[in-house]
Amino acid sequence: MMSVLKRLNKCKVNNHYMLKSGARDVLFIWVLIILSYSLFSQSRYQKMRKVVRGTNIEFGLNQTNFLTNRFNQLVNDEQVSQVLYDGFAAGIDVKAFPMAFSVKYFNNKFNLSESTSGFYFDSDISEVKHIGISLSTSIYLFHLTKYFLPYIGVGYQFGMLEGKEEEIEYRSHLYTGYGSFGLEVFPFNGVGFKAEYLRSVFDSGDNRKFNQYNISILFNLVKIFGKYEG
Amino acid sequence: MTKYLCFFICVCLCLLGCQDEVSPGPIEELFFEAADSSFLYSDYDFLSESDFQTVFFDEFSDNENNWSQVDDGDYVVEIANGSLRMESETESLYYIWQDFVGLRSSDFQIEMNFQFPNNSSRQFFAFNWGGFGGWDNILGFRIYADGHYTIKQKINDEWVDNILDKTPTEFIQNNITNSICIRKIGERHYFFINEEFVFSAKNVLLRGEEFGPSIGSNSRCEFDNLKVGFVN
Repeated sequence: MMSVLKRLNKCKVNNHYMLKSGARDVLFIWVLIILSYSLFSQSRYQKMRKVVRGTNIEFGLNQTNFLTNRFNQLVNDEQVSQVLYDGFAAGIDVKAFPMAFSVKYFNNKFNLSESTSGFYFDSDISEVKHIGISLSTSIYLFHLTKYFLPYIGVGYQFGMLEGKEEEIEYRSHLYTGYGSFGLEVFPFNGVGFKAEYLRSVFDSGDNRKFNQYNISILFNLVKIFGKYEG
Repeated sequence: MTKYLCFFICVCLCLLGCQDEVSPGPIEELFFEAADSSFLYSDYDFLSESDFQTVFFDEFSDNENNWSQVDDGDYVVEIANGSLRMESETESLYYIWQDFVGLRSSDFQIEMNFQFPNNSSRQFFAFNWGGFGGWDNILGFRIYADGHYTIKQKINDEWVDNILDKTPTEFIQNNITNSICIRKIGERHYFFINEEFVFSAKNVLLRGEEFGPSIGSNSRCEFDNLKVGFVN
């Protein structure tokens, strides 16, 4: 792991090296996944496959942060502010252990100071929203227990930044691929919680990289409505 | 369930697909462009007296700058009691101006005090600059006594709402002395009311050097302390 971290540090200074290093890191993660599945018995895997199934719907809090000096400056100068988790997300995901496929709508908010609004916009825009749809596929890393399910995933976001005031509207697309990891916890039968971190990848080179944090409550439709036996 | 999921995805993507980009420039500039110093000038106090060279100043104690005065029943323009009083009793506007070489080529700041009389909610005036030969191509920072402002440009004898539509502000107060300020630094204009920043516009084209106040239709207003400074 230390070598991976060292390589990530080097990535910051050498783009060419970053490509090679990125490929090695992906390989490393896949080895991790394969190991995690080979370490445990086939019967355990089969059992988890029967338990972790069905469809979850999720509702939660969401937050976007741009990972740029520009955004840090906007926040430090109080031109743009965010209330912690002043955004929401709702989605649905289908489990087919060890994989999951999900689609999620998110709506996050950046509040603008009055001077920022007057400086950049021709109207009284007080907030800009980051809204969009995420499509993703995930793979569960371990199958030790049906209650704790860590996963990693990749996805694509059809997002946009939108400022609106009555009939005046500004909209800029923000489409990107992303990588994610998270943890699902199911302390109750059919009801659980999820924490997820995602980070945009394939930056288009004009300072658009961002991350998102999400905390959600999950409802497993199969377990709640009992259509199938676990 | 799978078919519902697919349906949900399709609906979502269709909804998003219908959302084309609309005027993305300001959002891109705010979030993604490299920071420059232009935002700093939106703080009125960022520039102090020592940053200016005052090139024109009129406190209207007399008519040393030869303003065109009139009192013909329709319009009144009078310099008296240390202020400039303008009235229009008609449905049209009245404009007086000074010609001062250098506005187009310099960074500048124009400031002026104004006061609306009582019960004047429907009245307005404008401070104009950048014109030539009177009304032609002037820009107008128009202030309404009911607490609105707008920025217009006259092109080919037509007022065009091409800079800022009528916008409410809490900074205008009747029956007391208010101030407006127009600051131009580089390609950008900054507009202040009572030293509070209200708006900024990029690439506003100045076609002439004239500047001065105009009174709106059926309006009255008093002006004082008109000052033009070039930024050092």
